[in-house]
Amino acid sequence: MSGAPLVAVEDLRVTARRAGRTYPIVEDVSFKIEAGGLLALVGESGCGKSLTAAALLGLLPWGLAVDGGQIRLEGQNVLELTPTQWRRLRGRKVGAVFQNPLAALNPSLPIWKQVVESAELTFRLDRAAARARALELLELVGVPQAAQRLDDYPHQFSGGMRQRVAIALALACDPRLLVADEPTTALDLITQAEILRLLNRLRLERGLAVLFITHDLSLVAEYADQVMVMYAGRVVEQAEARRFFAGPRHPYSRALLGAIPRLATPEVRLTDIEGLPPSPFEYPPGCRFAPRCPRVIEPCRRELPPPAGDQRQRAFCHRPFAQEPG
Amino acid sequence: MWAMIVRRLSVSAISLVLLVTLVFFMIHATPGGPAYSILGSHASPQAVAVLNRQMGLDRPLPEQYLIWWEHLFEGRLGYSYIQHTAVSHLIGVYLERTLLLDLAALALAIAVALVVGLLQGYLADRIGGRIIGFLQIVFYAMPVFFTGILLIYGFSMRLDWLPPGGLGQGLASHARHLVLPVLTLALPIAAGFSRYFGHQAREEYRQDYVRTARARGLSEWRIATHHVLRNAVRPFITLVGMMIPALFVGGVLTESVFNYPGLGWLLWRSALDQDYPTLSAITLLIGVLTILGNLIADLLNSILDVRVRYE
Amino acid sequence: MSEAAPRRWGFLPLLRWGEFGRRWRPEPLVAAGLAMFLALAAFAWLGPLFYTASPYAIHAHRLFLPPSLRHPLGTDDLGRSFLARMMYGGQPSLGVAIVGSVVAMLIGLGYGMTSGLSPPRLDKALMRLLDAILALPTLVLMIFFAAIVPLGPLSLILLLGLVSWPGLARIVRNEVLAYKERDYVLAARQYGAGTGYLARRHLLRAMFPIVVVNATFTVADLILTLAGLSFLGLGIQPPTPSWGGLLGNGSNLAITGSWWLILFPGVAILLAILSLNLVGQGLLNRLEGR
Repeated sequence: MSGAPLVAVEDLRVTARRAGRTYPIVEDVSFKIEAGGLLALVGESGCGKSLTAAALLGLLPWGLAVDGGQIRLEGQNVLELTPTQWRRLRGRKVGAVFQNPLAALNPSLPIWKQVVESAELTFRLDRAAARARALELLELVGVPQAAQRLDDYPHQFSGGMRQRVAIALALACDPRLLVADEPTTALDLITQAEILRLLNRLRLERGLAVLFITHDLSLVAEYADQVMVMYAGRVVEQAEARRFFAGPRHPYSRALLGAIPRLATPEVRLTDIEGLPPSPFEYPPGCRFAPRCPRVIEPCRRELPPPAGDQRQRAFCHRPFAQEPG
Repeated sequence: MWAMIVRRLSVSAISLVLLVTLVFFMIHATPGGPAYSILGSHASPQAVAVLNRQMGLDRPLPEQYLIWWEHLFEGRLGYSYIQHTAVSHLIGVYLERTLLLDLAALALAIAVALVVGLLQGYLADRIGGRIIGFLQIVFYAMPVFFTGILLIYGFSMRLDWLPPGGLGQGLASHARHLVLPVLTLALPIAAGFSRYFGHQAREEYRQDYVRTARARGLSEWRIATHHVLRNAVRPFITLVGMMIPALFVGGVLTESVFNYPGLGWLLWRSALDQDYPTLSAITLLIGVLTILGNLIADLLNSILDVRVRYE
Repeated sequence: MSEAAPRRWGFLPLLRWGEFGRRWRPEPLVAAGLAMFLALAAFAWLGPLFYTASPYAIHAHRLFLPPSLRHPLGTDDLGRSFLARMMYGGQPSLGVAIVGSVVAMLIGLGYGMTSGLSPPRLDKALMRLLDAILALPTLVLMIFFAAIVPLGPLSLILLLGLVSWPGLARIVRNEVLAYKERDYVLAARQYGAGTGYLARRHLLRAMFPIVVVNATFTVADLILTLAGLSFLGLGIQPPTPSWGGLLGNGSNLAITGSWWLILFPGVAILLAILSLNLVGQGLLNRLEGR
């Protein structure tokens, strides 16, 4: 299995069934993450980024299903596994952190029990070993005076600390990949930066691969090594981070970037994008961004845009911006 | 905290006074007076006069009211001319049987409700969850006397698996006699309880910590028993408290349907036989039990509530 | 019980009458329940116009006949038409409960508004008395009363009303308290509006949806209580038919295998309670804005 990337998603397709018809919610999503890599998955809410993560974890909400494509973890296609086999992979190979750290922890259990619960069950730890492991994990994620806080309940922690504890929960069984679904959105700016630094440290020190989902490009500019932008269930641009931040080629990417004053250059800045993303039940034919796109041309409304560019930066657009020397 | 307990006790005391006073005046409001009600309406005037003197019934009403209280405190509940024994002797045996039936039904209802509620919370709006929701409404509306008769008709008359009622001799037989009444009594309570608990469980299943638990590869069984249950079960005591009146009322009807000689059955028989000393004693007893049950549930509930607030 | 216990009605003080009228769309539960209940009522009151057999006429030659074309619901132990008995039995079973709940409603409204509009000390005392009354076992007291005083329909109505008002009284009182704090009520007071005027002009209107929901559940409860009493032989007395009484009679005759004497009255009671619960629940859902 050497040589295979840690995670490889190919042509992932997620559909919803509604009134006897199936609607594609996420289509043609492909990406790879190597050990120690950090892929930033970016888009407005409702663009399918969280569903992509949920599909990767095998935790799609009821009514949605993976309808095509492959999800390979260390070379193994997890879609071929039984639900129980897949469940056993969660926690051991893939961990996850979600948006709201306030609700991510069970309010009626002391945190050490929650932190080691999955490890306890997986490795059959006794109480002393479990407590030791819990302490180790809390120290790893930087909870100060962790030894004294083992028996505390979630509500005794601040929001940022809770998110650290939630990360400790996800790391309990030493997963190779961490899916972080907007883990900092509910936090203040300083805490956001701290959490990102923690994730960055974890990937550098332990080779943890991170799929970082966010709607805020500025957050990941410093740390990401790949960027993938989604709009209305499709990937619109996929690039190495350095290339992307040097000059995104898709109008939507530029618009997202334009919202960050520090990164916008005058000539590429777009005005605020008018309108809202379409509902999955009424996707337009052709490019889904066409109705809101300031650079729209005739083919946009009829045909799905082909990929433009090379392996290092690819935009799905009929009329992409020119590639910047990056 | 103490102020709350004192206030709550005063409410129970008022309930008690209301109950005792109500029963006293009803007994004295019977046509012909209490002597007739005790001896029956066909008693001879001489017998009535003797009894009136004996029981102090010729004295003024306020004095009799005080005597009534005095007797209650002394535990003298009167003599049943129909059962030919002091009422206080009757009560112990019957109370025991009623408690056995009611507690068994309560335990069964709680067990069923926990399982069904968790399942319902897990299934939420899926077809299985909707079916459970519908059945809960139907079973909740099902009168115990109808359920009882249906069970008797099916399991005793048609299938001949279980006795249609009464009391068994020996442990095995006793248990067999209890099956149908316990089922009957537990059914609507389980329906009500599981509806409430299912709602609670459903809210818990929506919480992020359930998703986090799934993302860590915990099994659904583990999530249900170690995470959801722990949080959804918090209003448990309140629920038990709310079920107590339903339990006693349902118990009276269930015992009557199955001829199960407990307090409820005795209440019913003494009502039909116009055995007023027994009737009033049982009314008072069930009344006191209900008031006590409410009191205990409320106090426990408030104490738990305070603990939750301090946490 | 103390205020700590969450109640079905706890959220109701937040609701206003306007929501009931404005946001009205046919709620499936309400429509289904209402249709079911109206069908039962039509069966009881209009049925005898079409099916004219007497519910009292005894026929010794046709005892215990199972349902057939001639006797749609069979005949009972005295050869009486069971369909006729079911129809006439519906009248007291539903009617007494409905009128009884109107009585409960009036008492509950009166007590609740008095308490809510009284000075706080009196209000507190009245509420404590209400708690005390709520802790009494209703059915047991009903059995006790029924054994001592023979009950006719009228006394049953009164009695049922008398035992089932406290729930509504508490809701009304809470509603009044919430209402007193509203801006326009405070404003009206500044302009010198009296308590009686406020009660008539604003409160009763505001109370309407809650009273309707509560009335629905109360009628269901009373149908159950009355059926239970009649089943025990302590409610509506034979030969006057009532669903509870018919079911009681049928259960005594279960040994004869006459399933129709059990099934039909039982199902009628079940449907009556079920339909009203559906209506009540549907209205609640609507009010909660689910």
